[in-house]
Amino acid sequence: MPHPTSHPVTGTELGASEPAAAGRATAARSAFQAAFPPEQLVTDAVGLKAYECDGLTAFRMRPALVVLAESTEDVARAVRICAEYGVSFVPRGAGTGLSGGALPGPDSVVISTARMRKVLAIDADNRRMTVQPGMANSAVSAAAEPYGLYFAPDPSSQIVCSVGGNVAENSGGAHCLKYGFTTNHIHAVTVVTPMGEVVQLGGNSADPIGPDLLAVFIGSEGTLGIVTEIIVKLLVRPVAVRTLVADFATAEQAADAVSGLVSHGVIPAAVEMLDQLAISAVETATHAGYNRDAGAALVIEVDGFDAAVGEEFEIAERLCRDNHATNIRIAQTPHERDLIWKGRKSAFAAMGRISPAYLVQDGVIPRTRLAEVLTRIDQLANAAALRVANVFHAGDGNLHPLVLFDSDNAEETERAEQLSTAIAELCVAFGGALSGEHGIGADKACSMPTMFSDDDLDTMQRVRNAFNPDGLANPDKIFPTPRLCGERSGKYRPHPLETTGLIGRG
Amino acid sequence: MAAAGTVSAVDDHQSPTDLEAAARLLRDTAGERVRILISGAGSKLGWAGPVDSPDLEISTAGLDQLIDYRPGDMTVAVQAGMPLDALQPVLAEHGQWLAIDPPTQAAGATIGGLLVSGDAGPCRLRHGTLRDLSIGCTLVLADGTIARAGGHVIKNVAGYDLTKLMHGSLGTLALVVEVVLRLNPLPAASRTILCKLDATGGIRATAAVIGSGVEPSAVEWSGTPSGTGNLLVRLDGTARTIEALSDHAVRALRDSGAHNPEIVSEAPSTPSGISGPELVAGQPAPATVCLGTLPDQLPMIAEKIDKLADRHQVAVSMISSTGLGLHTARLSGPIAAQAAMVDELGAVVQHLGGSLALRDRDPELDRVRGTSAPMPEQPPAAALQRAVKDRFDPDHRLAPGRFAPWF
Repeated sequence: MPHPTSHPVTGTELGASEPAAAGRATAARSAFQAAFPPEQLVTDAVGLKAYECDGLTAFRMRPALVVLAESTEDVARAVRICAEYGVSFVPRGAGTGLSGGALPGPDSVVISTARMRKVLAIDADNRRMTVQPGMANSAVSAAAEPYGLYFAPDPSSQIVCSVGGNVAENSGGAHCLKYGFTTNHIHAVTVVTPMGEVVQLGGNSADPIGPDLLAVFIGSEGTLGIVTEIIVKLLVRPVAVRTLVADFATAEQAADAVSGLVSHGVIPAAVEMLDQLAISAVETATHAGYNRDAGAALVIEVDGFDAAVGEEFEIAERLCRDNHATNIRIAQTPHERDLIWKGRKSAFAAMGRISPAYLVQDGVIPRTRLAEVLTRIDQLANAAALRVANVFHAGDGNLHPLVLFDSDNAEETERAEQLSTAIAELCVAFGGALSGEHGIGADKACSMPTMFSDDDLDTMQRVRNAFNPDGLANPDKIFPTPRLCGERSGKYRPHPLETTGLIGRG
Repeated sequence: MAAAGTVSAVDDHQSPTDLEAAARLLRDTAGERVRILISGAGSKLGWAGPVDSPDLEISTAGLDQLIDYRPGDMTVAVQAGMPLDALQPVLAEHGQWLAIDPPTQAAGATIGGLLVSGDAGPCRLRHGTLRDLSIGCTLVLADGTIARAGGHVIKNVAGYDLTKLMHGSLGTLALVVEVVLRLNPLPAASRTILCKLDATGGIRATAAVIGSGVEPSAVEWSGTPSGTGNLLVRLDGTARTIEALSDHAVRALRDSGAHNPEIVSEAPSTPSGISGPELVAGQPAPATVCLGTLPDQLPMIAEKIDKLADRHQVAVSMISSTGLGLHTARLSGPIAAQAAMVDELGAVVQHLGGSLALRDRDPELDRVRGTSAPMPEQPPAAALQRAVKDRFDPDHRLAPGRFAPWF
């Protein structure tokens, strides 16, 4: 299980339960017990412990109750009980999220879709499949395999993470450089709204009438409702795939090779980078064949029609050499390719081999500024006297700096948290974004004001309030609140283009 | 194409030239019951329901500047009123393009208009619409609030994707002032292959060419519902690979039963597109409808259209993006016959779980059949769309009537 092995940092309890809320939760509990058989409810302390957090283990909160939904009707019934009693609910898929999107609030009910794992329909002629949200990401592609089709989003946690979670987070993965994100691969979702209504967004038509609510729902992190059925788009398996690993003396040289690729108009399926620390951890954990002596490694994969793949692969090889690659290894068999990817995708989990704890960041920067930002991260890490491993989606500028620290040392833990936040905000300062694929969740909500103004956030809140007028769906996520952030909430900083006068905001 | 007849005359025209002026315009009229029509090049003002007696037209014609082009990052920020036709040559100097080829480009279609209408061209099959190619935007809400979403990076999940929310909104939610776009490399070589096929053969050939792994940029079938039409397949590649690609595609087309597929173009141009209707004096203009269905429902839809056309004595020509299930049909004939056919077709398509949108038509058509959308049932998302509209534009100042009768 590629669950991150980060240890609880502070065990922070986000807010204390108010007496009124606790009373409502008690009343709601009786309603749930009347509406669901005992095997669909988790109410005991031991059972509830498993739902205290998701992949972001730093924050924990025990929910009042967990409902293990088995159908759209179950989810709708559970949400209606929450609405009736004014109890907040938190949607949960596989619990692999890295931003605390499934962190329960005080006295909230967790509605789990983990038991909803069925394929409901496969329509190979129209290259689409209807699935339940609890199905694992890689199981979707496995079910499509007999038809020569697959589901493109491929987060590193794809063996366990659920499609419902992918929809909630707008997940990406290594291959989204060429293929786009979850939002580009969903035809429709059936949603239980926070009012308990069942609504389909999207449908058979590629052009549904009116504003695109499907697009705004995808990536809304459970704040607009719970997805209960998903019609995914399937792609035809590429005819040819070629993969190489290029070693470089420094991460900056590897970054220059990435910029070279982009400026040559080559869009590989994936361009991933691991720095020396990451390589070392991955090799210790998986023996995937990465060169421990390299300062950085690039994994470049090209796929598509065979003649085109051959040509693009040649260009990629040449650009790596031009940028002083010290070694280039080309996967000769599907097994070798799988091993390269196994190493890359287990990188987070592998960190446990070299550090007792780590924090993951997910910032995005313009890809031409990779080398610069990596240097800055290095400087920040040195100043904080901490190690930072870098393993990330270089092709689209999505960084995953891993701040390594000892969680038994309170002072170091705090330094690590500060460094991690500084790195995320550095990305914003470079004209980037706080998150590329992990989501904002509870983790980065307090940094949102560094990227967005009050008006920007208020406008997003208008969408939230339209779906979720009572605020019961996944509260305290995405948007900074005083309860969540206290004084931590940063100030809005103008976009670099605004500072230079190129754009204004009125 | 001109469809100005469906737009009422407006007395007050404003063309703000910067974001602040645009925001002021909306803010200053916020208390008044002013009905506002937002326009770009005007190439799609005849789409969907007509805006009910607008008092103020806000044109983005003065917001036509390129803001920031970063070739190395393959992103560009533009003001929403910038015509696509003005942007592409700038990008082409760096070997890049915004991967969209709408027929309305020739009519001056703007980036903002393309985003809010979802208008795209044949290459939508491979590259999507501006829903897929927009990565950030600046909006002005009906009360003058300025809001940004997204940014300049191609991957970004921070906050709600308000840019994509604008897709399909047709000026009912906000004024789009700036858009940030992701770009693609211009294809170095291109081939377009033609096969003569009816709708059923067209679907079979489409499946074959997509299944062959050549990653076509566009596959479009055009013809009359019951007759033999043209299937055009566009492939993009490099000088070295394009021959192999087109040979492979030709083989796949032949194996699917297509006779004599032939290469008809080596220019990386749009293979087809609906051209403006040829208007005949004294006769009603044809009505254009866009139908969305599952891709393999084309033969069934073509048959139903054929029967309805026969019954109503309407002449129909069609263009279908067969890989996407989007079909544009043009209905020519007496207005009463057009009106009856539009509504019957709407019911048929909705019964199949699809959608039908009315586009350019003779203004007389609205007088005959009314201005409600031609689908008998409220679409499933309409109640939530109305809720979003109520939050963004509580007084319903922006484009009232566009989505009548739903909101």
